[in-house]
Amino acid sequence: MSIRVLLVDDHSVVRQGLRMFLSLDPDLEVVGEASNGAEGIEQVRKLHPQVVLMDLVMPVMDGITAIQNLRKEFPDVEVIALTSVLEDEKVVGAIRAGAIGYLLKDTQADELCRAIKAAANGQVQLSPQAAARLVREIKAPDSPEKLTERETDVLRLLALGRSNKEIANELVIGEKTVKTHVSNILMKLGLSSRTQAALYAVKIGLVS
Amino acid sequence: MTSPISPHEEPGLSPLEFARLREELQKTNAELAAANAALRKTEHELERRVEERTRELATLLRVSYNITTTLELEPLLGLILDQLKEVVEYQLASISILDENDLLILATRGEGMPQPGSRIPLNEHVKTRAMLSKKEPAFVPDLNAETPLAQHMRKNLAAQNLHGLNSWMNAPLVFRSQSIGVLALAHPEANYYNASRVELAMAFANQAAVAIENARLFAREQRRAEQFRVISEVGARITSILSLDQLLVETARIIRESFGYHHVHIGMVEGERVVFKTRNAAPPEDELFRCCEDITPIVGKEGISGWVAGTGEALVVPDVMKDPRFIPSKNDQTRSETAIPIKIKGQVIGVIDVESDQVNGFDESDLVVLQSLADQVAVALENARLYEQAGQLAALEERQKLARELHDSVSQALYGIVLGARTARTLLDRDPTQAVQPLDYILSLSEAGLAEMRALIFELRPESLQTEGLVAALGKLVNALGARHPLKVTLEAETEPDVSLDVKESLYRIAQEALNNIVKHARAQQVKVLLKVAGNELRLEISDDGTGFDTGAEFPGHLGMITMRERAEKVGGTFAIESALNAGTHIQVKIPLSAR
Repeated sequence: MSIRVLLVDDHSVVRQGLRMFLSLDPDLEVVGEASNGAEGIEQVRKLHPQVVLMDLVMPVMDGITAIQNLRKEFPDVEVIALTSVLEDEKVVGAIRAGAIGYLLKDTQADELCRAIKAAANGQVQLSPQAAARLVREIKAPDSPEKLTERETDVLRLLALGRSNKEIANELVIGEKTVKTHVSNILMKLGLSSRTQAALYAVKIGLVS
Repeated sequence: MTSPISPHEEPGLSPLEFARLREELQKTNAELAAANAALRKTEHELERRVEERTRELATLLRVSYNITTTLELEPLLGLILDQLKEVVEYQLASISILDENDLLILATRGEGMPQPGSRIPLNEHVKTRAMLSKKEPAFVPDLNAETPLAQHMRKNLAAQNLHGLNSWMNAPLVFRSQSIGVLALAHPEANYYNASRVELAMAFANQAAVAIENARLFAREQRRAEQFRVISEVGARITSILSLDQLLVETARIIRESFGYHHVHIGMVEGERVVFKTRNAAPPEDELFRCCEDITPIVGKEGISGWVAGTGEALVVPDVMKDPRFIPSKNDQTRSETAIPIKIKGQVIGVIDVESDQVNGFDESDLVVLQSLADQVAVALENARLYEQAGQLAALEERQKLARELHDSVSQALYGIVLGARTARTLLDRDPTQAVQPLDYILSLSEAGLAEMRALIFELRPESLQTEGLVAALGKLVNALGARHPLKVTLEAETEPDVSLDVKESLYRIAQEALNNIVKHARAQQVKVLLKVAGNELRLEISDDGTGFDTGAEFPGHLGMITMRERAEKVGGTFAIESALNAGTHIQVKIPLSAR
């Protein structure tokens, strides 16, 4: 079954190009488009995509606000921030709002497909430079609720960029159980995305 | 009108250059925000201080205008001598005042007398000094007598080549129990000056004393008035001079010319030294700034200026020979010196240094005036710095705007082109017939991008408004807009209007702002831009079929509306806007053609 993707960008030419390009990949299906954050949320309600490609600077409702709202209402929908270099500084805001990753509009087009698939699998993918910068920004409670041993294992693997399925195989547990562990980890750490959890793991030295 | 797209018209940007430009623009954003905040703060402070200074100057100016009568001492004393003659006769008469160790002659009557302004050293005149300290008249009724005073005076008068005199008297000018001068009379008739005539002359001497004191008082007032005038003059000139060097030279010149000081220098603190700017900035033939050519005193260590720059306090040195801080230079006639700090926010940035060729050349009022001038110079310096900063800020803002526009238009188009090309490339391998759609998409994006680039390059070179004209400029604007947004934009324009570049630029900016507003707020489908000459006026009209707004209420783009109105009014035109909710918006700018 192909991955359902929603495009949110205020530039119609970009949506048009993305739709055209993504349609080449039989694993991906662009189910809809929206030209601002508010429309984006409406479309998610209607179309139930798995992954949202979200521009950050948009009229009516900007991308960061939309990501925050989406993560609250639809924790299972992963959002990739798609930004121009000009908005680079907003990346931190997007990750903090709960985006699983971000892509620059200069990124190689092939990587776009790979990133969407990884996001759909819950895999965290960040470039080392971006991770270094983001780690400093990540805010977790000073004394978070202690993770269980199993949760710590899951967090470590998650931070290594493994998908839920891979984590399940490695720990010899069910995929659903992995998902439950991830939700518990996020709740205990007071974080809103896998990316933030991965950055937290880097910060406390669980992975390097 | 539309302009056909031809790639040869514009200098293209290579992708590399383009990427570099974009990166650079992005960097300026942060700088801009910081500079902006700092400037707002300083601007506010400066505004307050300029206002304060203006109030002070206005008051000072009023005071100086109040003193308008001229009081001349010499004619007045001459008059006193003439009146005296009707009561107490003389062949020769003089009134002189004590000035340091001399008698300074102010008025005389009779042949062979020294000129007013001549000095007689008092050192040798023991008798006169004794008379002055006793504050009582001395007289010799008959100069041929053999008394010591008579002998002394005979010799004295002969030495001055004054003959035929047989009676002589001297009366002190006493004011507030102080001898301030001498009234001297001589008569050919022996025994003319007796006790009663001397007493009568004393009354006139007292009158002269009062006149002299009044005149001195007046001179002091006049000097103060002059000082105030200088302050206002410097203040007035400062506002029109923006070059720093020019400002310092002008200020130094005004101080010197108005006060007659020996030397005036203005130095700025540069690192650990005070560097005198006025001599470098002045024309080489200008004697005014020649002195102390090579002196750049170390702050806090060398010279009087250095001391003032170090402590931030004004300093008066009444006698430089007695002050070890003084640095003498070649042919220096400086006898006293004062230096005043120029401060901005408590920090010494420079020094006004004034030298006099007189010992005790400065008094309290000089200090007040110089301090006031130093304060004004400080404000002017800060002003000059802010002007520079504001210029930089405007450039930064311009660059930021360009960055935003690049982002909004060209960079999105380029990304679309990348996606389209990647798609086409893949489809060429799979099924070449399918590649038509992405190729068409690339083509349309390239055309749109080109139109955007033209519009942007046009904005970078506003002079093209002159070379290519307003109609062409509006054409590019309209084309870019139509390519970027799902809008049908048309331009209807006649031949290039015969108006000034200012008018063209205003109209171009108004059109730009109006079209931006339409894109941002109006949700229009059709936009019409019209430029035409109607009767004796040039009209620019922009209308859309968008949502419109209530013109009476606050609405998005309100500020832009004010800017448009201001632009129109600045070139003598009018600006009108008609709109209502769901009824579109119509903007009309009229420029009278006589106003070009």
